[in-house]
Amino acid sequence: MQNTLKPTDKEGGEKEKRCFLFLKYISNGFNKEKSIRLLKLSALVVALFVTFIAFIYLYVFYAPAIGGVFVKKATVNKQTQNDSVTKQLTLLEKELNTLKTKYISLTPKQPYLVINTTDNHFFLYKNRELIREGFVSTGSYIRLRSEDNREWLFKTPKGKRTVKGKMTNPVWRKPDWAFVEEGLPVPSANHPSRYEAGVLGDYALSLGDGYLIHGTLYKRFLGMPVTHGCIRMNDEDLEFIFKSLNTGSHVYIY
Amino acid sequence: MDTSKEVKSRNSRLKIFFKLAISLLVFLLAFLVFYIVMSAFSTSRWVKDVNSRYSEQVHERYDPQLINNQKYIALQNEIAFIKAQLSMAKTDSIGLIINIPDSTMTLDISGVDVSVAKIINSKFSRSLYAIDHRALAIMLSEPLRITNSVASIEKEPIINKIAQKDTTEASLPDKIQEIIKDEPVYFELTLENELKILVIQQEELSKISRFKFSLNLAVQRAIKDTKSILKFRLPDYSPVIQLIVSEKDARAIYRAIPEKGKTCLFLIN
Repeated sequence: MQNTLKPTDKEGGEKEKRCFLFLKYISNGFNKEKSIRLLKLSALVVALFVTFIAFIYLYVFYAPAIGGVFVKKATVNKQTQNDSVTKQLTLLEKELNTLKTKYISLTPKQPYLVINTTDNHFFLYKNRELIREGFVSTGSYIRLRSEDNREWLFKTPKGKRTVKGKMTNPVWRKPDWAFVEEGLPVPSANHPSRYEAGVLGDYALSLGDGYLIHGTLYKRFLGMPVTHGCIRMNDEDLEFIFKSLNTGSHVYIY
Repeated sequence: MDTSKEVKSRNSRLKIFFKLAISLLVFLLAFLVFYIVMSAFSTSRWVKDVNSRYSEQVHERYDPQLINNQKYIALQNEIAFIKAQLSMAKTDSIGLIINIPDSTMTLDISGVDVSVAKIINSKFSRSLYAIDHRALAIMLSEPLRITNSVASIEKEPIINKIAQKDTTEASLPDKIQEIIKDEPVYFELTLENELKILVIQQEELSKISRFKFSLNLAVQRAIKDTKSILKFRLPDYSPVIQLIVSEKDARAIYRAIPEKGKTCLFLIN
């Protein structure tokens, strides 16, 4: 094939020169048969790849669901409505209402506390109505391991708990982990260094197994999971809850 | 220039490649169709199994005219749901209540609803509509136990810490930061009778993470199904109930429910 493209002398800049060389290469090197074959092959490879991906996608995501399309829905019939049917439906409605009443009665009318450990929030209910809510701090989920391979997991237990006791001006009896965590030697069971006043706030409610609802010096951490399993509150919320809940009141933790 | 011999040889190689590719495609397509057929049989077998297992327990106290009556079915379903909740309330642990007609997901402890989350969107497998109404009511009149769960977040975000050797205080803010991670929440609970509850957070933080989670579940199922199919056995079928809730609710629900917790379902009104 004869090449008729030439760069003009006047406009012969670098750009035009490059363009000319490219066109020359195309026109000289162009082999129709070879190019068509290459194109066909590329198209085939691309088609194969796309089909394979589509197959995988269908197989993995849709095939079982397509299988489920063929099941028949169960039949429902609206028309039957005679005296006998009405009577029996009324009986069924009564049974439903009895069950509903029974279920509602499970929610206490007395005040109860709900703790959300994920959002570190509390909700206080009385007569089945929300009367107060606010921030708390709950377990940090830190697993502490001592040098002698003792382990403690600082989490707030979930489920239903009961207020076992109420204390004013509580004194904290520091457990072993409090010393281990601070890198201090663990003292004997009744050593005076175990007792610390003023750190739990003005009030504390015991939930059993050593878990307390108490006040805190670290109010900036309310709303965050930072405790060793106890539930910390600010002074105002703690006082309100202390006065609202009695020994035996329920605390629901989730 | 290529000699005609070279061209012929190249063409024949291309033809062989083309034939192989087409054969592979046909084989894959046939396998896909076979998988779909097997899945269809597997679905209908699951429906039949559930129907026969629970229909045996049906004691007809009511007029036969009632059996397919819409109001009767709705009442039976609601009674079953409350019976399941009452049964679940006998324990002190946390249970999950899914009420599709009310669009709510509730955490329940001993009959007290401690948290109610709004279901923003829900869809479920067609096979659940195919179960006989009486069998469905009986199946859901008891709470269903969670047998397995898969999630994009940890159930308990535990941080391991070695005790200090001296009294230097650890930096508290760092510890908190580790806990409050901004991971998207997706989880799948497998219940008794192979029912699956797939919970997806509403906020689309990252399409890639959701795709990765779905792909992981789908690939695991596909591998399990393929193994069954290759042995000429019907694959196991699991109907899926997909629920979309807010990220905050999804996280609280997943963290709250115990590993082998119980779930009450109210599907159809």
